[in-house]
Amino acid sequence: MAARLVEQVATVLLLVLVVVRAPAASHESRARLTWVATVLGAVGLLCRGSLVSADWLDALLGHRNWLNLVQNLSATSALWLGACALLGLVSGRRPRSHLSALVCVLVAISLPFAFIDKGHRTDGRMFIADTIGQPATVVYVVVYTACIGALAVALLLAVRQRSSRYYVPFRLGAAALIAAAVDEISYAIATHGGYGETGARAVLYGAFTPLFYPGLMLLTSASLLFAASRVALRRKAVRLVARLDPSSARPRPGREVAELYGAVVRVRDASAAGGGQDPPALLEAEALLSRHLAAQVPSFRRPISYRPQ
Amino acid sequence: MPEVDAALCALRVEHGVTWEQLARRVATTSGRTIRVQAIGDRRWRNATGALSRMKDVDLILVRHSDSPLYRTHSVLHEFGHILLNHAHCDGAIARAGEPDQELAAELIAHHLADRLYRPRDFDDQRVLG
Repeated sequence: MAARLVEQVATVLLLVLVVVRAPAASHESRARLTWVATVLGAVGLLCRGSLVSADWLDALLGHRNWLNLVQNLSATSALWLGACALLGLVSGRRPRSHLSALVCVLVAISLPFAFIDKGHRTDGRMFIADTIGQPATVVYVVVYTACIGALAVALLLAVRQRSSRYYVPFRLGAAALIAAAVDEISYAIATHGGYGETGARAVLYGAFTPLFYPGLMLLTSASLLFAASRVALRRKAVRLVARLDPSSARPRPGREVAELYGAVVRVRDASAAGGGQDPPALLEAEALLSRHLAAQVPSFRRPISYRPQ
Repeated sequence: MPEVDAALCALRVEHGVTWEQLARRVATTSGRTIRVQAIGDRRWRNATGALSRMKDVDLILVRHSDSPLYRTHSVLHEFGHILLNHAHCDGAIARAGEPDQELAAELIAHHLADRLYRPRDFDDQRVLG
């Protein structure tokens, strides 16, 4: 019951993120890759059947448990695209999806799945446990979870130099995914080979969900925090424009900060020759803009020369 | 304004450019050294910024008593005159009067300010936010 709730929360979180980030993805090419990753992550979670019946979804694919493969391919693709986006961010280059390499990984996961005797009814979340006696299932689980673990390691390495505090939950999430991957591989090998106590194997089986889904939520929360800080800044800019220039129209979406800058310059132009006290809204607006713009500009108290290169 | 578009196209500054990169790119585009100095105070009433185009150097003077943001804008305004190859600018406060040259320089200043705007975690926000 608790596991189902965790999955439901993770699914809703991803769906919210898909909606919240859609405007940014539409006009910011660098945000597109991670947005597509979020969509794929949401698809993967929906395949778990926590919000929509897995029976119903699997029926669309012929009631042969192909839904499990769709779920795992979606999750792998989501993490792959996320890792590509972050590696692009770190290198300073435009992110690339390396689609051909991704296709190879997806084929490597799909091949063992094709050899599993999948039965004629939807097993939903019990599919792996029910078929773990088959070698093909073990290979399938090991390949898939090894990919997930490797991608989580790539995510961790990609953000190791990033200073933002929003990466704290991200790092914890990636670490949880690595632990989940190790746990699932151990479970598959131990159960298939009959190694260890039954109780220990049950612990391994039960540990996956509490590691994997909260890990996914933590990873997602970093994106949500970045999106939220962007939205908060824009809202503040809109409020300040209205205070500085009540007659002005509401700034267009995406132009809030530029319009605030324009409003500040207009007010300063109007008062440049005179002394007088600066209105609080002006000081607030300048403080906000200076943090992100003028802070990097020298005071020029000492002359500075810029030579042609 | 076509001359503004042409000047910005020639400059090619991407979003998130740093101040140092921008100033050097303006100097490179004009082919002349740019020297910026803040002087004066509020008694210097006639201008918030001025551009003097000397033999080898473009000298930009701005008012030190202005707020850092407004002072930055004054420099960007003079960058606009340099990029548009105007002979000089007697005072950025003439913005209020807005002859064509001042309007064109002002448009460039706003564009450059937009490109310079770089919140903390700017790149991370673009990719993940």
